[in-house]
Amino acid sequence: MSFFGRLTAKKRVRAAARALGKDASAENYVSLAREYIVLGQTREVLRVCEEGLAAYPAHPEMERLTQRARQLYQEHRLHELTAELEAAPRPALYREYCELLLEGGRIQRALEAAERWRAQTDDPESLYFLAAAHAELYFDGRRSADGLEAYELAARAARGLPHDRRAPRLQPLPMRRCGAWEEARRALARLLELMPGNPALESRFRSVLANCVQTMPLVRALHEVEKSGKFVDDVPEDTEDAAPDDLRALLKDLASDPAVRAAVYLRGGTGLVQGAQGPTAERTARAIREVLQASRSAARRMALGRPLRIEAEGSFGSLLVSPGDLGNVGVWTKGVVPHATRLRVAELSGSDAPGGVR
Amino acid sequence: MKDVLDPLARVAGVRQVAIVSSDGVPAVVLERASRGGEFVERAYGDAPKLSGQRIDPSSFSALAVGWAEEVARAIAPLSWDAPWRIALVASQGTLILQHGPGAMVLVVLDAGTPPESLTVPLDGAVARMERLLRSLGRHSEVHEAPSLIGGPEHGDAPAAVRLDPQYRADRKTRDGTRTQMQPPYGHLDEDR
Repeated sequence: MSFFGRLTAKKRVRAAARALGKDASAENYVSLAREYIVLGQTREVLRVCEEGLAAYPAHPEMERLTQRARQLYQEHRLHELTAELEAAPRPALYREYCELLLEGGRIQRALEAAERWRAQTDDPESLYFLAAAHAELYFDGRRSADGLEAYELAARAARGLPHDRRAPRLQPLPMRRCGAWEEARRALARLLELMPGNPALESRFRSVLANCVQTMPLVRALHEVEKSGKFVDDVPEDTEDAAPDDLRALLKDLASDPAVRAAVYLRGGTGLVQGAQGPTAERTARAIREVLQASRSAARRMALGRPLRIEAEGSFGSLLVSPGDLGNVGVWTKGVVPHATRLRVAELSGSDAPGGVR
Repeated sequence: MKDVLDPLARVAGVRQVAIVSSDGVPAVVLERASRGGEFVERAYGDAPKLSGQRIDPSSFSALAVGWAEEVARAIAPLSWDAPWRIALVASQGTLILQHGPGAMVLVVLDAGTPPESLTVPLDGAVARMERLLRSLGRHSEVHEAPSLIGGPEHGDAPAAVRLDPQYRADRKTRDGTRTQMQPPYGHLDEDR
């Protein structure tokens, strides 16, 4: 921004601040935040939006601005931290860097940063961030090696940082989700020693204690989750809400495209097929189910996480399989899968990977 | 062989590229280093060394090819041929495998990178593999070609083995020199 542009923008900021002082309305908060956006001061945008949200909770425009400002601030800060870490790496910078990456869901980068931190300084706090990154990867991909790493690294971090509560808090989480109740009980008992009398923690301890009768050895519990792809606290697929009534119509609409040979919807033990009949329908549904099963376990073993979409191209045409929250949808097309079909498949399955872009 | 993969490694979002034999043994593996972003060549049997890496390259290649075989087996009732390109888009990364002459090109992308961005570069890599084979074996396309990963068989030509017949069949179908193959259970339209 030019010198004069900046000068006039600052004048407008002062005017917006005066207007907010006279009338602290939601609109005035938004206009002041917008003036700060023009100046590129994301920290100020965040401060004004947070102040405004405290006065007007759930204001949609302010929430949107806050979210965007937070993202921009994180990006900006990560950029600064990367440069500072290159010049003079130190634990405080690594801590903030890893926290920001974990908060933003960039788990792989957080893992890389924590490993560099450990290699450079051997700080026990780096073990906590390594454990946190592995735990996030475990919750996402259900890979047993990640769960075990998270548990062991959290235990080592807790030993290295005896007064820090973060590692003992983290340690029982993967264990509770995979059904290794005895390990979870021990970890919670250690946490209770650090935080005696905490009612939420005591209640959690009692519930874990009640489950200890059906505990599994740690490694077996982790492998069971990796094999099935389900945590013990996951809701079984068959007991979830039934498929929407208009599902058959949506599937028929999907199969009406001349490029689509067959469209399949699978959920639990049932499947709906449109566009193919008789043995072909059965073959297609079975093929899609097998592709899905193979891909789920392979993605876990290859440390790629949760499958969002599987595509195969060949002389048979193309096959697109989309596992999602609402069900698993597969289409078999004559040529390349059209973009509109991709979008409809993603919509039908409730997948977060529409049109090929997450 | 590194030259075959180098242009692929320059595409934004690519984490790992490799040429893998049909039984899952990696011939060349290029991986992006955590710092700096430059690609380093990994040897067969290397343990995970790059920071943040959770699986070694040779195990990864074997698992990837194993998965490709499972997918090919699953869709065998729909087609005579194995798929020539398969992609697994997952929450922590994307895997793409494309059949080449006697080997497969394997690419791993960062999470969120669409696999469609690699379609043309992958075709280019396969074309470079073919060109390399031609220059090594001075072969005609329909006869013999040296393998990219096999050992020397005869004469001065290095590693002269036949091209993978599956690959040749796929290429011919794609090039339009052969008619579309029908599934093993006859015309699908008959079932409708």
